[in-house]
Amino acid sequence: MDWLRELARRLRMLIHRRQFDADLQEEMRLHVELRQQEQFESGLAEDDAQAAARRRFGNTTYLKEESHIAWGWEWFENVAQDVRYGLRMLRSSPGFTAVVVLTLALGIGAATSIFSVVKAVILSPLPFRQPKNLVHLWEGHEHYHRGDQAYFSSARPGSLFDWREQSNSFESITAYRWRSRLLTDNKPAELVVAQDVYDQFFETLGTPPQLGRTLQANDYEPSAPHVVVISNAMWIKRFGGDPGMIGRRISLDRESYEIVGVMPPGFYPAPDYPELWTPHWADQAEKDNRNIWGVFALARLQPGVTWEQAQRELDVISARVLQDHPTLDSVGGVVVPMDAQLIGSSWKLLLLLAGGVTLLLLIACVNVANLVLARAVDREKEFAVRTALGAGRGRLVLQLLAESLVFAIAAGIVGIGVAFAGTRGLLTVLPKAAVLPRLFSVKVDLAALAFVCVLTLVASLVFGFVPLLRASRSGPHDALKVEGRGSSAGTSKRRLGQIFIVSEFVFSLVLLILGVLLVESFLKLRRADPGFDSKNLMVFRIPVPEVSYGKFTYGAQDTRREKLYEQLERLLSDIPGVESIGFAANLPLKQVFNPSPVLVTGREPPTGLVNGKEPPLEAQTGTQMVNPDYFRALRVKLVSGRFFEERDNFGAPEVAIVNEAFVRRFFPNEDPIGEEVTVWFAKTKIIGVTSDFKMGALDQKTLPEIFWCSRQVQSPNAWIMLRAKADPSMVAPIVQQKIQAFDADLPVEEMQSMTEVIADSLWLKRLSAILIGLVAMLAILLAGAGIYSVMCYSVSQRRKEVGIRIAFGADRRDVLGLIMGETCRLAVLGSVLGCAAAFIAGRLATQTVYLSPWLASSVSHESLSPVAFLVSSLFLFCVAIAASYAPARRALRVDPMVALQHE
Amino acid sequence: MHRDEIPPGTLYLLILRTLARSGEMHGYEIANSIQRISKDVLQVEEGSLYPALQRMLIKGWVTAKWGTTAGNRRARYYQLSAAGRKQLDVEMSQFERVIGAITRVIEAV
Repeated sequence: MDWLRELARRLRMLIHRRQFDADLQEEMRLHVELRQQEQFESGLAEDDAQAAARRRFGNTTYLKEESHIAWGWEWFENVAQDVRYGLRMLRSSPGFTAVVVLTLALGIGAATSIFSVVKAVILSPLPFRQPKNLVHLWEGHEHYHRGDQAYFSSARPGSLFDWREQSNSFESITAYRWRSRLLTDNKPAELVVAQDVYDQFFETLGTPPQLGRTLQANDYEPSAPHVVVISNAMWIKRFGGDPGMIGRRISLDRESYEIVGVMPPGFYPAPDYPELWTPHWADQAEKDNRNIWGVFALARLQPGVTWEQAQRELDVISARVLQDHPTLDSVGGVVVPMDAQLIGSSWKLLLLLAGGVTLLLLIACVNVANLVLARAVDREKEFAVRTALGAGRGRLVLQLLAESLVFAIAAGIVGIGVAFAGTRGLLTVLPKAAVLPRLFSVKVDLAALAFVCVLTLVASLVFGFVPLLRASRSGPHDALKVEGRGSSAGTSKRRLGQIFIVSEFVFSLVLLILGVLLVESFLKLRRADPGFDSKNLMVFRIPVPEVSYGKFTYGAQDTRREKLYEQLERLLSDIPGVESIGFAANLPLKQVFNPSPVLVTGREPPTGLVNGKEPPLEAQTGTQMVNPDYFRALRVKLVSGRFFEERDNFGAPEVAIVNEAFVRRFFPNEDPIGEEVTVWFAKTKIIGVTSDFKMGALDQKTLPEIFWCSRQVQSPNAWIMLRAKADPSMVAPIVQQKIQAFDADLPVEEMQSMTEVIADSLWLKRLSAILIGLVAMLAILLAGAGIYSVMCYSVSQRRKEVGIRIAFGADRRDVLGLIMGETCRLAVLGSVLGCAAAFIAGRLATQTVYLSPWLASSVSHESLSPVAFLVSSLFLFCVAIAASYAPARRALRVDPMVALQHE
Repeated sequence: MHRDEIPPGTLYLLILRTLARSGEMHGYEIANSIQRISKDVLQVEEGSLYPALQRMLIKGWVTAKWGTTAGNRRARYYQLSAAGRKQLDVEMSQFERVIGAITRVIEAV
């Protein structure tokens, strides 16, 4: 307890430090005065009395310090003094301060925002119970490899039950189907995205509901009353977050459902966020019918079982199933960890960005170290004087560290502001929550902020430490002497500064080259010809509600949809200003390649087809269902044969049109017109060849496609392409009106112009280019600031030298050249090293799985255009020249006399 | 007149003993008292009294309060605390042990 009381006394003293000093002062003065008085009274002269009293008392300053030390706060006082001194330095050179603080703040802010997004999207755990044990199960033959694109085929319900019955790796297996359902209550009808879930769905995921309950075992019985669990988004949006919604009824596909629960926000962060969940009962027929696909299976691994082990078990089960059902083709299961599944591959962009901002932060730290170094050398004399007066080396280092600390704290405060602004900015440019799940949960992350700040602090201390040690190590004698002689000082320290400059060059050049490559490849893509005319083309989607037009079955004639499509076609063609109307199941550039094997009549079938396995992708083609006017609406060219006509209807011989890629693949150097092919088990005759146009992404090459006529083969839903004579936005409201008048329950979705579709298809690429470009520009800004400050310092160091040269009659231009020459040498060295680093980074990048294919191909060494390297190096070179020109000019303007007398 | 430095480590003892005898004193009085009682043999370097007093304040051996001198000047008066009294005993016995030991060494033939 004594030490506690003692600490309290020490603290009290610390708080009343000033009072304490005054007291001590007064006490001592009294003592000396009393003694002086006594001496005086004993007969000494006044002056002698005072001297004697002082002598007897001793060194007042020393004694005061001793008393201070007794209290044990001298370290604190030292730090406080250093910080005060640091603050004074900050104020005395505002330019220097602004550069350091802003530089660091930019680095801290940018890094914090990116890391916050990375953390929210990639690192924070999924909102499920033990999410590490959750996996997705797909059907397919290719196995998932960590870091791959995790998209495979949906599964058959039959396979789901095979897995359930035969596997031991899983605690539970469940599944869902995507389904759009017509929601009608007192508000306007709305087609909502819903999941029909198999039993144990909620138990497998293990997320408790926000309100009410999730689905239970008895809800899945066929005779059970209709119940539905809704998402938080729907609860808020449609029902105003009313807690009384539990037990209320809504109408789905015109049937009444009772709301039993609300899931919390962020539950099931799938790319397409489902709005409600209804139970699905699988009957025996569904289990037996192995021609139905479309279920998305989820499973929870047994504790201790890895997804790779589960994969091996599924392989065994698949082989057994194939033995039991020799007629089946493509039996197989693919296990994909849930996090890889949900986060998809857009995290690769984030990872790249995180790398980019780390480089940026590094540049910022180097900058600070640079400036601290410059200051340290500047203040060598000051240090020498301090050392000569008895300051310890530790004390000097402490003083410099305290100054760095002041900088770091100031930068941290500004950086927090930058981080908030940056995160908000990022969220506005990352609008596609669909592609980056959990984006809605992004906030400035305090942990990320703290991490970045500590990183910065440590990095700048480490970078700053070398110069600090050097500065403090130099003996006072040397330092004073060197300064006294006024030679061109500190060559070795200038070397250190030069190393800093070169490394900044390398870091920012790597970023810049990456940015230029991405922008270049993005611009190339934007200029790419999609193969159709995208001007004056408006598109929208009509998801046909099953409740109005019946369940859709592939391959069967669907007269209700056939009639609907024909009526819509006629309805829309009648609108004035409309040239032609194209209907298709898929929209160009939004198509997911859905391959089917091709069998040319009179030829050997591809190897895979005979023995029941999936044939190689080269033997497959994409399939499309389009109306006769489709090609006219897209304005694609007919290469040979004819387009569809109205006579190609149900009952007439089945005909097909193929693209040039199809001809190249299956009929090289032959005329395909009149040939008969079997695709997807349907025999059709090729009647025409169309020019190639992009169905998938712009950066992918056109794959073989076969087009069937929608009069003969229907699709469940329709994309409509409306070719207008002028700007199609004029007719948009009329289209909405006409369709509404035709069938009020028919939703019109995703209405936009084709140019927007093209822009949308490039959004991730555009974003990558913009963000990396932005980081690169920031890096250059910082590097420029760094070069500027070092040049300023270096020039001021050489002022005397410049003065001497000019005094001896050197041409000012030559002297300018001399100073600029140094920058140029550094810039050349930096460019060469930076280009080499970028080249190596590009080579390495193509070998990792951490880059999306487009990014990888953009930086792969085939596409490493010399232009990007040249342009980037030149640009950086110009920045360096510009940054050093001003200080160089300033040095020249100096009067040689002043320069020589200086110091 | 020759004056002896006080033996190291005994300054606390001297201050504690002085205060124990006279109750309240300010720094100058303590210095004078030590000098007087030792018949001018023990000479405290007067200033060093103050850091020592500070250390004793921290330890809680003495307490201080401001008062006025006979000459009507403001002065800080120190007083022995209970802890200080205990410390005085400790220091005394320690001192006696050391002195006893030294005496024995010297007197041994």
